[in-house]
Parts: sequence; C-alpha cells; structure tokens
Amino acid sequence: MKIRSFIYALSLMATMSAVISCTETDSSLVEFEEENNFDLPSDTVYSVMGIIKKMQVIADRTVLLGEIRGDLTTLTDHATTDLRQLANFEATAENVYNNARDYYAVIQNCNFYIARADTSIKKRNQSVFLKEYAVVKSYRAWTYMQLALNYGKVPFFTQPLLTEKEADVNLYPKYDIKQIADFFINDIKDYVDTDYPSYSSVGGMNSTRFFIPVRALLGDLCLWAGRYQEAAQYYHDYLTTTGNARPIGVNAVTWDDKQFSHVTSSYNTLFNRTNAETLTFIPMEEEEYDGTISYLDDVFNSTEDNNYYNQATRSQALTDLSSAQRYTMIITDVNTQLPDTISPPDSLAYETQLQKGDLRLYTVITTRSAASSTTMDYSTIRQTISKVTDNSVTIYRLGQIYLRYAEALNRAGYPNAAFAVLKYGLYPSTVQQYVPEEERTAAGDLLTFSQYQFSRDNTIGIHSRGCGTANADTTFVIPSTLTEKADIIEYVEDRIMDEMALEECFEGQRLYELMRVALRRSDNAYLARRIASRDGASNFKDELYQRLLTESNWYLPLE
Amino acid sequence: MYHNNTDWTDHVYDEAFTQNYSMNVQGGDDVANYNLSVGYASSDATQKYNEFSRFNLRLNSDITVLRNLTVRFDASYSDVNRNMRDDGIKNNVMDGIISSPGFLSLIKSPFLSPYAYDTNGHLSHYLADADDFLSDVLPARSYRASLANPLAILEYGEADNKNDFGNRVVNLAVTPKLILNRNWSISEHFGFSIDNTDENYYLPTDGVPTFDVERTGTVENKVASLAARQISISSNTYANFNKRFGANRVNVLGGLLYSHNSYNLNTQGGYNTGNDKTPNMNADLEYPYTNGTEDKDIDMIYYLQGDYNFSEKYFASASLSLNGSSRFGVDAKDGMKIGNYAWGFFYSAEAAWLMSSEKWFNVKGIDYLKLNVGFDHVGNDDIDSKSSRTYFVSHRLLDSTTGKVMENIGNTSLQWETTNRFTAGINLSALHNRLFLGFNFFTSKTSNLLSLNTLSYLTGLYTNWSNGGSLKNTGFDASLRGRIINTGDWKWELGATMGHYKNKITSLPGNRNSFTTDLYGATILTKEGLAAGTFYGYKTNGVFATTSEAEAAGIYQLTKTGQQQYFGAGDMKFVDLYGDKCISEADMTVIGDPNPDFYGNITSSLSYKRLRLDLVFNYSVGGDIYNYQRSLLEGGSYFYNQTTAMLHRWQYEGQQTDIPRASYLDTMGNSRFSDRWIEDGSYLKLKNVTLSYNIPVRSTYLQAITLWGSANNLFTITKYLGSDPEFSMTNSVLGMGIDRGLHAPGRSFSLGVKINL
Repeated sequence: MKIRSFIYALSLMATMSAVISCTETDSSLVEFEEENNFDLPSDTVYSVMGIIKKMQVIADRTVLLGEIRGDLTTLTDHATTDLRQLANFEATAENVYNNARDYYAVIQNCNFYIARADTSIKKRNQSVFLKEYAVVKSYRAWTYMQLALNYGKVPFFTQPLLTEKEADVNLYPKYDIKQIADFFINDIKDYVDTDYPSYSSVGGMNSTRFFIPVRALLGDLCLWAGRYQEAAQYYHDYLTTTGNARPIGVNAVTWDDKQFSHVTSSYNTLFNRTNAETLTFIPMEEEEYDGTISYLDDVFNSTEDNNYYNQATRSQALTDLSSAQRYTMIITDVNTQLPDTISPPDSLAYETQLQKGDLRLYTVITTRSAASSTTMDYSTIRQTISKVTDNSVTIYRLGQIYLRYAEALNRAGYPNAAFAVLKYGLYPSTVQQYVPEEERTAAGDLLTFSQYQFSRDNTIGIHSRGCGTANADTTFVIPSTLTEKADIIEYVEDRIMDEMALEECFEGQRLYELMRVALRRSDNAYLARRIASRDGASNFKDELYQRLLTESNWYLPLE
Repeated sequence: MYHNNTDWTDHVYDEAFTQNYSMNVQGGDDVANYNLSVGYASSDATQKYNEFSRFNLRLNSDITVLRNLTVRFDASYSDVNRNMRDDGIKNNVMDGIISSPGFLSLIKSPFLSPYAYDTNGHLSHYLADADDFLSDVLPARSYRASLANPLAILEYGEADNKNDFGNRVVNLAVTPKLILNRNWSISEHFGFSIDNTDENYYLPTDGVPTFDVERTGTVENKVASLAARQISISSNTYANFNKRFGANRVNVLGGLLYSHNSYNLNTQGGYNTGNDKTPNMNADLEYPYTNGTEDKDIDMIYYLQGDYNFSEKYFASASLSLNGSSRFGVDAKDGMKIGNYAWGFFYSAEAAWLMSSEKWFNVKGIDYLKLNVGFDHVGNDDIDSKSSRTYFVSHRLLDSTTGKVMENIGNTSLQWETTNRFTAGINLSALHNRLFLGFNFFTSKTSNLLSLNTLSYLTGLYTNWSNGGSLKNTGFDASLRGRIINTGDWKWELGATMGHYKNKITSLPGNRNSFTTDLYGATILTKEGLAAGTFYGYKTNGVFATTSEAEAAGIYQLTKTGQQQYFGAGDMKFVDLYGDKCISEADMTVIGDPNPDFYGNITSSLSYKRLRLDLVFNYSVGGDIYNYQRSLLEGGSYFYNQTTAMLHRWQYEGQQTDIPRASYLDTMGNSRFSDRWIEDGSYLKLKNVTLSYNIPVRSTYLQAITLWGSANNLFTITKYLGSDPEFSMTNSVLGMGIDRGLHAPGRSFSLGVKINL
C-alpha cells in the first residue's frame, strides 16, 4: 500500500511540475521581447548601438540613392547594372539598392526602444534614459525622412510590430514627406536641448558624432514641410548655440599667386571625420568579418576590388558648372599700392581644365596614371574622390547646414541675407553692411550672431571655399534688374542650388535638393531638365526627361 | 620538380583494416533477469587518418521486488571516437580554401610530387608545401591559384587536439510496474540521458596556402572546436487495462509523458595559432569567433490507446493524444487552447481482418491472408525552440562594443506539420508457407509545412518560420519471397522488394507558386505540381564548332555591368527557350528529378547442409543525380586537374565536340548548372555477399561456432560517371541527388567467427 501511494505521488508530481514549467523555457543567447525591459542603463546603451548596427546597413544608400540619381555624377562603363538602373530611374524591386526593409529595420528597433524605455526612471533626479531616448527619436525621424524621400508615400507607424499580423501593410496610413516632416517636427522638438550620451570613444571614433543634431534635423524637416521661418530659426540656433557656436571657418582651396600657377588647399581636410566640419557620421566596420562595411570606395574610387575601374565620376554638368564660376583674387597693385581684384584670364593655360573656375572640384577629385599594370585587367587611370572616407559615411556636415540655412532664409523672405551666406558669411558687421534694414528687422533673431563667436577671422562666404575672395567679385551679385521680390528669391535659390552642387557633390544630397526645389516651385521640369542633361546639354536624354516629369517616377518601387 | 606523374588518390586513400568484438551475457532466476552486452569496434577508413572506434555497453535487468511489483532497470553507455577531416566539395570552390583531402587528391596536378625536392634535386621525405606554380600569373588571392598538399592536411592535422570527434552517451532508465490485479497495472518509466559531443578542427599552416576569411586579411591556419551537451529527462506514467470477455480481447493504455530537454552548443575558433605545433585556442588568435545555442524545451503528451480483437480474426486499434510543447506558438492555428497554451490533438485508427481464419475461407494453396487499413493524423514537433517568439540578439559593433538588435518577430501561430496518412495492405503466404507476398499502399498529405516565410518589409526582418504549403506523397512497397528449393540438404530462398513513391508539392506558403534554392552550384526548384528537389537549370545543345556558327546564332548573356557578351566558338550552346537570344534566368527549365521511379533490393540465400551463401543486391531506377564533382573535374574553369574527358574539349576552329573550351574562371558560364551535369542515377549493386559455415560442436560449454567471410560493395552496374550512385548528401529534401564527392563506403572484405557459449 505504501508503495502504491508513493507512485501516485510521483506521477502527480510529474504532472504538477510539467504544468508549472512549461512557461520557463529560455535561452541565454537570445533575449526574448518580454524580457527586454530597459531597466538597466546597459540595456539602453546596447540598444542604441544595435540601432547603429542597423543604420550601417543603409549607410551607403544614403549617399548612392541621392548622388547617382542626381545631376552631378555620371556612371562609367564599369558601373553595375544596379547602379545603372538607379541613374536611369528604372530600379526594379530586385535592385540591390532598393530595399525599404532595411530602413524599417532601423525604425522597428527605434520603435521598440521608444515604446519600452521608461524615461521616468530617475537617478539623482536625472532621467536615466532621456539622452538615449532623444537620440533614438532623432534616428527614427531621420530614417523616416530618408524612406519618404526615396519611396514617396510610405506606411507609417510608431509602435514596434511584434507579430506578423501587425506587420500587414494595409493596416497603416501612407505618409508622404510633408506628413512625415510635420509629424516628426512635433515628435522631436522637445529634445533640442537634450545632451548627447557620453560614450567617449567607440572603436576609436568620437561617439558624439554618431548622433544627429536635433536642431539641424528639425531644420531639414521644416524645409520639407515648407515651414521656412522655423527652418531658418532651427538652423540659426544650431549654428549659434551658446557655448557651442559653429562658425564656418576659413578652409578653402586657393590660387597661391597672381599668375595662377599653383594651388593650395586646406579644403580637403574638412572631410576628415575628426574635423569640426563633420557633425554626424554612421560609423562603419573596418572589415567585412566584423559586420557591415562601406563599399562607396568601390563605386567612386579606383580600388583593388574594382580592378581600379571606378564606377562613378563627375558629370559633365558638374564640370561645366564648376568651370563657369569666376575665381577672384585681391592683390596689391605694385604700381598704385592699391588693392585690385583680378581673375584668371581666359587665355590661361591650366594644368587641367578642372582648375578653371571653382577650385573645389579640382581638389576633391584626382586622377592619376598608374605607372604599369600587372595584368591587363587593371585600369591604368586611377580616380580618388577625397570625400569618400574610410569606415564612415558622413550624413551631416557644417557646410550643408549653412547652405540649408541660406535656403530657409531665402524662402522665409530674406534673400539678401541668404545671398550673404554665400558671398560674405554672416557675422555682425556683414549682417549690418549687406543685409537691408527691412530684412534685418523682419528677420529679428534669425540674423543674430555674437561678435565674440562670429567674425571675419572665422567666417567666409561659402562661395569663397572654391572661388577666392567672393566678396570682392563684382559679378557675383543679385542683379539690380530684378525688382520683384519673388524673382529675387528665385534667383538667389538658383545660386544656392549651384553652390550646393559645388560644395556637396558626391555626398548624396543632390537628388533631394532638386526634389525640394521642384516640389516647392511645382515645377517637375526643374528636376527633370537638370538630371536629363547631366552629361552635358549636347547629350540631353529626352526619354529620361519625360520620365522625370512625373513625380512618382522619382521614387523607388516599394515592394 | 614538375616532372612527376603522381596519382594523388594513391597517397590519400589506402586499404583499411577493421575489427569488431562483441560479447553478450544473459541469465537470471525468479527474482531477477539480466542481459549484459559489451562491444568494441575499431576501423581504419580507406582515406588515411580517418579511423574510428566505438565502445558500447548495455545492461538490461528485470527485478521482481514483490509479487506484484517489478522494476526494470536499463543502462547503456557508448563512446565513439573518430578522426576526421573535411569531406566533400564546398558550396563555392572560389570562396576560401579547399581543405578536403579527398577532393584535393582529384584536382591536384599530377606533375607535382607530394614530397619536396631538396636543393640537390633529390626527392626528400618531407612533405611538399602548397603548390605555387601559378603564383606569377595569378598574384592576387593566392589561395585561388594554389592548392594545399592533401597529405599535409592529413599528416600535420593528425593529433588528438587537432582533428578529432568524440561522442559519449549515457542512458539510464528505471521502470517500476505495479500489478494491481489481473486486469490493471500502473507503470512509471523514468529516463535520463546525457549526450556529450566534442570536436576539434585544425587546418595546418605547412603544406596549405594562406587564405582569406571573408575578405579580411590573409591567414595561415585555422583552429576550431565545438562542445555540445544534451540532457533529457523524461517521465512516462501510464495505466494499463487488459481484459478478455469471451472472444473479445481489450487492451487499453493511457498516461502522461513529460519530457524536458536542454541543449547547449558552444563553438569557437580563430586563425593564426603560430605554427602546427601549437594548434590551441588562445587569446591572440586573429578573427576569433564564438557561437552557440542554448535551448530548453518541454513537451507534455496525454495519451490513450486501445487495442481490440475478436476471436483473433478482427483487429482494431485506436489512439488519441494531446500534445503540448513549449515550441508551439501560443496561438497555434490547429491547437486547442488549454490554459495559456495551444495543444495539438492527434489520433490514429487501424483495422485488420485475418480472412484466412474465417471458417468459410477455403482457398486452395493460401495458408494465410490478412487485409488491413489504417488512418492516422499526426504532427511533428521539429521546430526551433525560439521561432514562435520575438527576440533580440547581441552583435559586435565596431570591434569594441555590442549592439542589441531585434532578430525575430514571433510567429505565435507556429505549429506542427500535420500529416494525414491512409494505408492499406495485404499480406499472404501460400503453397504451404513457401511463398510470401506483401503489398502495402500509402497515400499521405502533409500540410502546414514548416518553411521560412518572407516577412512583410515593415518588420525590417527577412524571414521567420511559419507553416504553409503542403506535400502529397503516394506510393507502395511490395515484397515477394519464395523458398524455391527446400530439400533436406539444399535450401534456396529468393526474395525481392520494390518500392515506389511519387511526391508532389500541392501548395506553397504565401502567394508564391514557386521558389528556387541555390545549393552546390545547383538550382533547386520548389513549385506547385512538381516533386520536391527538382533540378532547375539550363538545357544545352552541344558546342559552337566555328565562329561563324556562333555568330549566326547570335546568342549572348548580360554582364554584371549590363553589357552584351556573345557566345563564341568553343562555348556551350545553351538553349534559348525564352527566345530573346539572351541567355538568362528566363531560359532555365526543369532538367532533372532526383526521386527514383522505383527502388528496392533482391536477396538470395542458398544453403547446403551447414554451408550457406547469402547475397544482397540493391537497386534504384530512374532517379537523376547532379554530379557536382564532375562539373569541377570537367568544367575547365580553374587550374584543377581534370578527367581525360577534357582531352576532347574544343580547341580549334571547326572542331566538333560536346565539351566546350577551357577558360579560367569561365566568364561565359559554360560550366554552369545545366543538363551536362545531370546523369541517370539508376544502378544495381551487389551490396553484400556472405559465405558462412556452421561448425558442428557438441559440448556443454559451447553451443555453436560459425565461421564466416563476407564482402561489401563488390560491384555496381550503372551508367553513372561518379564514384557511387548510392549516396546521400544530406537528409534535407533539397539536397537530394547532389553528388558533392563525399567519401563513399569502399569495397570491404571481412572474416569472422561467432561463438555462442
């Protein structure tokens, strides 16, 4: 009898324990969603790093989609079919650069973080997660912006999708860039003053530059939303933040002598990610073994992996624009001892035609001949574009912000102030001297620069980065024949667009700038014409032009 | 140095010796019975340094504790050690280094010697280094131009801490059984098992070219190790009821099975250990990696099964079970929701009629005739324990920190694959039990197939496991066995079996109706209406003999940069099925089916007095094989030794041949996956011949002595050009019929003696 009851007890125990422990399966190598609760500071750091890991996947695309489809680069015979499709706006669903999924991977991880991180947890009266929370919110806003710029109308949601049912495309509204911009302006505006987390150096890189400046991003979103006054305000406030003012600096590429025989450049150093010019970059792995590396090098430069055949290079349109600029230099006349303004004579024999006009293109793109080639498979002409950096993809830099600030000022109704950004650079005395009083009054705080932070010692007009002393160029002006304000604004906008081309080529901004202006002016031909004539006016591609007259053709097909 | 004529396979393969001992003791009395067996086997493989040994021990005992309480105790232990090297051809030969000695022995150039020449030009006994005769022409990525010395991989990789596999399994089970009365009993089977596996891998520095690891720097050698442990605990508690009412007999069994499994796997590895004397893991390794899994899962099954028969003529049985598993999603579609979990409900039923026992059955010559039909509805639980849940995984970031990212979104409706199977059969014996015939028909449909499903792009993820699609499988197996001669001294029994099946994919998950999978250069098509594992590739129609012929055809392909690349003289004529002159994926078609039409074996057993000769043949008819190995040995794409068939390759304008020109890296894709490499895998093989003689003994200590000699794999009749048409590359449906040159079992001869005490 005793034995029997023992067996009953045993079997009962087996039943009991089975019922209890069915829930307790776990694994030490994965972390299940319900356990990922963000109750430790380390959770939040590793989650931010996880989002960066996903940003790495879209990093190359942020450059290629904006640049290859713009009017400033053209493809060589060695470009892949995928790149060719991009350039012709014929990318298919299979194109390697067309994968909205990778953007949503960033968004999913951001959404999860935002939904779960508890910003109310405080330690010494400071929110433990607030800094990361702001970072993640700005990553999400930026990624949605990229998504809408490349795909047009995109499914929009802000909650993490944790089941297949929730991932049904039909459940979510589709937002275009304007709706995205309006939503996220509201979503991130409270975080303009939240500090970045301080992780110091990660992988030998300054980790504060992994983060997106919230005010600059707000400026971008406002530009897309057509809220120009606010855009100008955000950019201005970003550039003049107390204690962290960001004057543009005086780096430039210049002719050394009045014979125009030798060029000196402090311009290329700006593209080094340790330079103050670089504001935000996506850090990339050094080796494929470690994760996602950047292949931009193989597109823009001659590398061993592409047998030294670069796949993309400057377009004829960019080359023409660059050489059409006027370089100006102030010299002291030996006879009169008075300052005089000179430009290279038309008859000047240049070392290369790239030296004609603006010098930035000349210094950014270099080609050289290889002495000998080991096999005939290798190209003997080798191209290097200094903007392509190792192991990082820059997404924000100072020159861009100044140009967008000018774009916003202009459309907010301050074209003279906007033009002054190009020609003089803004600091108290230039504002006073070159911005008409009615603009100054109307702009109010938008044009306030501290005399202690901004002066002629650290500020030049952006045009001077490649065109010498632009403030002395009597041809680089708003024509006095323009009297209507709308005409002046349009004229200045065209100059800003040219300046953006000269300053930002190969950085992946171009298509979006053309889109912004075309949408603003309700003039699709503005974009179509420029892109269709990227290989020069004589090689106008009519088929491409016709295609681009329809806005929906600007976007990649969403699967 | 380059004047040799080496048959590398001679150096890599050798005759092997095998030994096998076993002992079995049984005994007992009224209180306890026992059975103890011990065995040891060791064998050399035909490939050098691939020896294997196994020790196993098993104890079974039955103890009567009380008149109505018995306890069964079972224990077993096995220990397997194997020395091994990489085998078979990898997925992409250009990707990394070729490290399989077997494949290297085929592609290594015969003009090289396995041994180095000294400075005086004399052959030494030192192994030659990796070859370098191409290093001047192909300077980049040396491992693509240089092949390892296979003997170096074998010899320098030889040590217990280098290439060694060990597996140890312990099983313990205790089963008390309490007999309550004549009809009722209760049992509990408690089982515990532990399964440990460890493996070391070492690819040496000497004799092996340097190689790249996924486009990183160049490395010299590789070391890796694996340790896995699985612990299972199970408890099966059941009651049994057994009763006879007149001609009715009932047996009912019901209970609960609970099992808990935990599995731990850790792998680690790295590169550049220093030299071949220090094949150890250490902190200074380059590109180190660690990996692993840890799974725990729990299953519970409530079950009830019953057997019934009426006067040993009519049989019926049925079973029901309710399965719960932590691997199922909580919302499993076909599950019953009990508590927070989904439970699967499965059942089966079978009925049989022994017609020959009927009084009215009086068919002359038929001694036994039984008909049976059955139906079952079953599910499997072969689901990864994490698939139904959402989880995050940590990854290295920037070689200095860790990033945690969402890696799976849970499919909470994930469930078992469901199979409904109907069987019907007939078994009879006739002519005074000298002829036996069996025929079984089956048809089954498996639905909710587990497959990787493409997720909506909104998830940011690519796939997760889900159920979808179905597969139908219909076939039969038949057997016929006859005692042809049955006299006093002479006996001859001949038998044959034949199996046939036809599988067909009836639906696929999502709204796709087909997809392809690339494997070992092959493309496998999975499509509604076709058999699983169908080969999908290009059709060929000979070789362009002349430039004018090629130009007239005007067939081209597109390069990566979108340029047209025309097929010229000496290139394959791929059939342009799509008709646009461009050879592209649109021209791919079904080129083979690895599923055989029918297969089986033939046995013969002839004996004269105490001498006996047994023969076993296997056969298979109608299955196609993709000869991946031949596609490399006759592909003409790399600097690999080729078969003599390549002497007939296209070499001059106008040459009529069916083998295209040799071209390094094969830019035209002449050696791509096409019907050139699909062969008929039909064969008839003499699998085993055994001759045995039973020595007459009359002794109290000795019951019998049998002497025997046998031969395995004596000959194969086939048109297949590879080494062995009877091979299996993988258990996966998709890998079926792909010959990637795995080490095939060789011909073997054995002699033995069996002594019964």
